[in-house]
Amino acid sequence: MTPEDRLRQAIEARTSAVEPSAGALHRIEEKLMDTQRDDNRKRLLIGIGSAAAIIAVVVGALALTGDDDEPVATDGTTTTEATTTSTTEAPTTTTTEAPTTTTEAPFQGVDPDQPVFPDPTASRRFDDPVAAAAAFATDLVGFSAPVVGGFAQGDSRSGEVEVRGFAQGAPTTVLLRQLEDDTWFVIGAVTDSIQLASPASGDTITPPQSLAGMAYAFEGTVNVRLYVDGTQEPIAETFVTGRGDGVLGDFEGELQFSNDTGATHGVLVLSSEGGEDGAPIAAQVLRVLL
Amino acid sequence: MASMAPAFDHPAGAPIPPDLGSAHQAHYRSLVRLASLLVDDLGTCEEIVQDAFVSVWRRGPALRDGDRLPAYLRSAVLNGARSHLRHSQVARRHLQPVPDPTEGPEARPLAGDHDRVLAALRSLPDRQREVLALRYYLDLPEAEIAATLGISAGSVKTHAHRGLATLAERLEDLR
Repeated sequence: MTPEDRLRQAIEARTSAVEPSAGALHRIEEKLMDTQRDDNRKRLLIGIGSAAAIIAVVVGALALTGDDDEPVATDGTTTTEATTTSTTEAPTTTTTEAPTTTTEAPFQGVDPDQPVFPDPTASRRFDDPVAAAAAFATDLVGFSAPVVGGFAQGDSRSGEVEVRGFAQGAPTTVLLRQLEDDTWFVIGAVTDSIQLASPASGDTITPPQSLAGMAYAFEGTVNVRLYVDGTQEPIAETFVTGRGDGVLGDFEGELQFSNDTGATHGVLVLSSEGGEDGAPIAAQVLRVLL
Repeated sequence: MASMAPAFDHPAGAPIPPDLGSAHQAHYRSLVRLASLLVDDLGTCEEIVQDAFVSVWRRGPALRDGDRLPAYLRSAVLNGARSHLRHSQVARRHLQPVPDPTEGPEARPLAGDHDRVLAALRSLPDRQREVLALRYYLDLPEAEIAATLGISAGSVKTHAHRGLATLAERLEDLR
């Protein structure tokens, strides 16, 4: 008997002996109601928090103006809208449609050592970290339909957003920071399945640049792209091979490139593919100097 | 027990369509049986399947489309089983200093050939185990397995081939 036949017989024997309990539907309904109660509790807390924030802002505005008779309707209205927007959008950020808060602000200089996206030499800017993470996932990394999570605040000017290639995919954690112009930049991205050890973020790379680290990916293949500031297309591409069985395996490789534009800053993107469309599903992204 | 869903709003504000009962009727048993191929304890299997229904139902009506519902439920069950197995593996590492590599995280004392085969199946890597379970229990075509697991049809073939090869080796070793 072939292993396939033995497997079929074992599965048939096991599954035919399994009969679910009688009260399962009732149990599911109970769990759904528990979940709804939890959701309502969270909504109530968010509402209370929003109200407290509005009161705090209004009181602060009054204190700053130092004149209780001065109308504050404009400030109050603006603040209310902003707070409401952030609290109602937060639970629904796990969609593929990111908030569109991109602004084409006049160019303002930021320290170019940190941001990997958007290109600090261009004028594209983001007022919202989730929008920045979503645009980063599609425009730079190449996710076809990313599932973008909510913003997890770190300190007052930084935080993280988890992005997945598909709903049940492994997360790529996008690291964000609000830089000098008060807009949001991606300063890097990490994922469990790709761990580049050398070069590290902020390292100066020179051709041929050696690559070393650990990874697992479909058939072990991790694609490597190098972008430089001021250009849309990668100036160099290669791939390295880790392991394909779900266990981290060492990889080594070499990246040959020519810095024709004389750029001083670049972005290294290492990504693994898994979708039917060949789009990336996980990525590590870091800033490099040239 | 009436089979009507509780009449409350899900997080997006839309009422839950009253088809939980029929979905339960149509899919619950086969999902518990699917879970039982991956997880030994039947009570845990039922918990995993119930949580899968809850997960799909609270995400809104879009996931409950008649054609897509089975794939979403299967996917949620496999995720739940995987999560349970990982948790069990961590717990077992603390309890058993020298695990038997031929035993999966949910392996029982081997009583017969069927148990040996199931233990070998459960000892495979996640994706291989899931692909084989979907193929040989539900007889799903590659495209549906791919949709359920969120991988390409090519990956399904690869996982099935590797899984069967490893299974054959392990069963040979156990002779």
